[in-house]
Amino acid sequence: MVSLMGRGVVVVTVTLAGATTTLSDALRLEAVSRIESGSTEAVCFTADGAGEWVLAAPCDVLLVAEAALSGIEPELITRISDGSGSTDPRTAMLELQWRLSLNGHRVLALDGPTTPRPVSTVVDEQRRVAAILTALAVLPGTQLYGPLTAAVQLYFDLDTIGQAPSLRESVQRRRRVPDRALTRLMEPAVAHLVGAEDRADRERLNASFDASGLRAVLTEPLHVVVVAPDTGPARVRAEQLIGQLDGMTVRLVTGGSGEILQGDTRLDCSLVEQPLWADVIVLVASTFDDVPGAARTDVPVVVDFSTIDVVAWLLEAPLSWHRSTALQELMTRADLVLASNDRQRDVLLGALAGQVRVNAAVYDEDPSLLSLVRTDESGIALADFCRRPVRAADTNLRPFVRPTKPGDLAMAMHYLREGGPAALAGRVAARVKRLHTSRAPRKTR
Amino acid sequence: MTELGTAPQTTGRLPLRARILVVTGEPLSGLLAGPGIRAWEMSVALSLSHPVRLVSTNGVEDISHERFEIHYATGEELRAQTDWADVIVFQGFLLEEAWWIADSDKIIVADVYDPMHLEQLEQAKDLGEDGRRAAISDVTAVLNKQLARADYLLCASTKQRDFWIGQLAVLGRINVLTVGREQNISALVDVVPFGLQDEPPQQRKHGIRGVVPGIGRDDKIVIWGGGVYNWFDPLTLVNAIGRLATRHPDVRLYFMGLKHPNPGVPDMRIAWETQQLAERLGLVGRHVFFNSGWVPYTERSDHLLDADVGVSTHFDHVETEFSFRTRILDYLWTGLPIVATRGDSFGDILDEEGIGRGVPAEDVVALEAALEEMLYDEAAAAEARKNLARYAEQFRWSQALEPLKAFAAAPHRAADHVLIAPSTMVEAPAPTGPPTLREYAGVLARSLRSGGIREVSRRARGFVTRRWARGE
Repeated sequence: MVSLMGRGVVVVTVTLAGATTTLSDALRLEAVSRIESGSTEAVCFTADGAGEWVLAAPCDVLLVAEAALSGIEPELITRISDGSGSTDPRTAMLELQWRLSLNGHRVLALDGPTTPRPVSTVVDEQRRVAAILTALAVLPGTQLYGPLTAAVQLYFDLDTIGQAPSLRESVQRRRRVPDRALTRLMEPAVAHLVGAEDRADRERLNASFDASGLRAVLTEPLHVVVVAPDTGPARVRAEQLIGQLDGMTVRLVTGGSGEILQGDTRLDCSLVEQPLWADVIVLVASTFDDVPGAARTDVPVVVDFSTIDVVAWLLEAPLSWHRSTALQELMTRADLVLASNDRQRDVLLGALAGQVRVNAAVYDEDPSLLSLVRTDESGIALADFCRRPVRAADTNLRPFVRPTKPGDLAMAMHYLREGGPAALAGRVAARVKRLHTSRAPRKTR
Repeated sequence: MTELGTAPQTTGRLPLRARILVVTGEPLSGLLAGPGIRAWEMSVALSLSHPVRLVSTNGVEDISHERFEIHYATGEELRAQTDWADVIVFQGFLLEEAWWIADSDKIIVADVYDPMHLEQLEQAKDLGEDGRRAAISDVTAVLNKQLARADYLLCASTKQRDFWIGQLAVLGRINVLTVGREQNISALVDVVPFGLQDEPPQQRKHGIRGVVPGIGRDDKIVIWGGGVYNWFDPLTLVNAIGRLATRHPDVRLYFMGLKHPNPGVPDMRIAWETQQLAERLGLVGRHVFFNSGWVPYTERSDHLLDADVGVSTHFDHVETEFSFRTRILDYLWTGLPIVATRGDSFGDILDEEGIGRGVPAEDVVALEAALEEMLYDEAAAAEARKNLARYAEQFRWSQALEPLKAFAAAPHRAADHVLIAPSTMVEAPAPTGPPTLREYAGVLARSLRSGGIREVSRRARGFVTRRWARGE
């Protein structure tokens, strides 16, 4: 593994164990510049890579921003680099790319040299089993688990499928992208994972997708819930957004009347069902009071305050409306906050900072913080987010243990064990002397 | 003069000349850094019309002023000082050390000119992943506590003020009682930029020219005023100097201070990397020079007036956006043309005001060109110096501190604190759970260090009293 120091971005090269291909300087520079520019977080070099987004493609070399690896166990990288562990390194490389995608990082496939993958239908069976277990772990969502299980059982008659759940749980806990945002890229990636590289294998896999009903799941469009007031600039903004979301299923929830519209149709369904149905929720000048339960879902949430002056919004309501509390809840949960201008962006950044949302995870992923809070007069950033929704970088952080220096008691026990009471007394005397010395020059006038 | 420990009446009308306590966490001595300078200048200005005491919770040495007392105070002595005051102006971590203030009816002015939590994003990188998360979370909690309790707040720029409005808003402090329906934000948080000394700089002796071995009397000197912290980018500067030196052998870069006078400020990785880079490029002692200590506040003009250009380079990130580079004020004070990275309060106006050149972050070539112009193009440098004299006027301390002086003339509690029960205010997020046994032990150790057995005993009494009051 080689690290390159770019302009504020550390790019890590992950090379497959035993790979004999060498990457030209030109290709490496191209990948580094794309990652440094922020247009992607990872680049894989693969045969016929056409500059398209992938979930996983077979490759010998993957260049990835170091910050994107923060949600990946180092053990997985080791499996790729030195071939250790039970999974073969090629499968582990696919798994890494897929997990980067689940964690909200994009993988770009560029045309480059690769060692052809040995295709064998019998000899490599054990590797395929490992790949399927990997697939089960990294495939998004619970609803896919059943159909995919059926699919792979049809394909392989697999009886070791029970091994996947614990890894699956760990991967799903960290994911930041909803299921339906990834399904479009999934079919070729599943084929690579299960080793269905030739035409006959692809046809068998396609047949199993159809037979299991998985095809319908893979082609289901994203579900977007837009919440907006009944009238005014925020309502206009919401309708403009809906007009840009071709190919998605969009519902408009009106904050005042509580109506739910899908296109021109008024739906006869409950407000509380909407957060569960949604893949992404957009609150345009609205709060969580307008869509109960939304704050508790795992889906990406956009707080669009681009039609609001925050201070005026707070002051125009009676204190009993508790808008400060509503703002606090929004800032705590939002994955993207949109502001009307640069001044409002500063205000909202302060509000986020007060909720510890300007933290190491968010900052390391994007030091500009534009992925957390930005202006968006045109609505382009909002529509882009709906097409590629992702939870904020500080989502699902592992619980952290407050670090401490070695405690005095622990040190005392150490000295006692090492040198007995005399050693301990000597250390205490030295500490007292140091403290006395450090305070000595300070005096009150 | 009021005796220490005599408490004023804090209910009803305040005395005409409110007693003001200015508290800083910086050590007070001849070696003042940014926060210490600010506390000092506030005391100087306020003492013209109020009884003032300046207190450091981190030591006092060889410093005095004819109009106000200066004390080093912790524990019981700090309590006595706060009891004396009608108004307490402070920076940093005072509410953690003097916890009784938060529940008192003292008028509190929080000086939040330094968004410390943003600073931690870079500064705490040296603490490891968990240490960094803890540092950011803890400092945010400290600031939230200040914002929730303060009756009046000071920051350094209008951009900072917008930021603090947001943080105040989620704490419920932006309401009709504090700022009114007419949105008079200045009533709650106002702008007091870092200021310039009113007296013009004087050079009593050379600080650099002909004094530092390797720097001659006629060399062209670029000065880095102040410390070297992780959010700065001296690496690009050293590279630019290295390139410039190939065409101009007389160019010299002088780092004015590597060792911050406050022992609580850690040595930072970037300072070490800068020295390593300069060493590797063969520039140390020839074109790049480091002062391993800190220049005394009263002697800094001896160094600054030896320089031809003042420089400040930083990385492009959020700390930069909201920072107010106090070292730039020293450049303004001494009339030095400035070359700095764009993106902060000053970097963006250098070209606009004609007082120097702003350059993109991490751009060695642009920085080299800007330095060359300001050092070797006599006409451009002269024009910048002329503009500096005009631009600097607005930053005189006497001007900058007007909002604080106005508040001190009619100090008052924030209306929401008086009229709304504290339980109905929005609570700041609790970044951590209840204190662990280990954290209690930490408090015990710190108390022992800061105030001895008496302080431990006082804290223990307070702890038991509070638990008793809560029925625990």
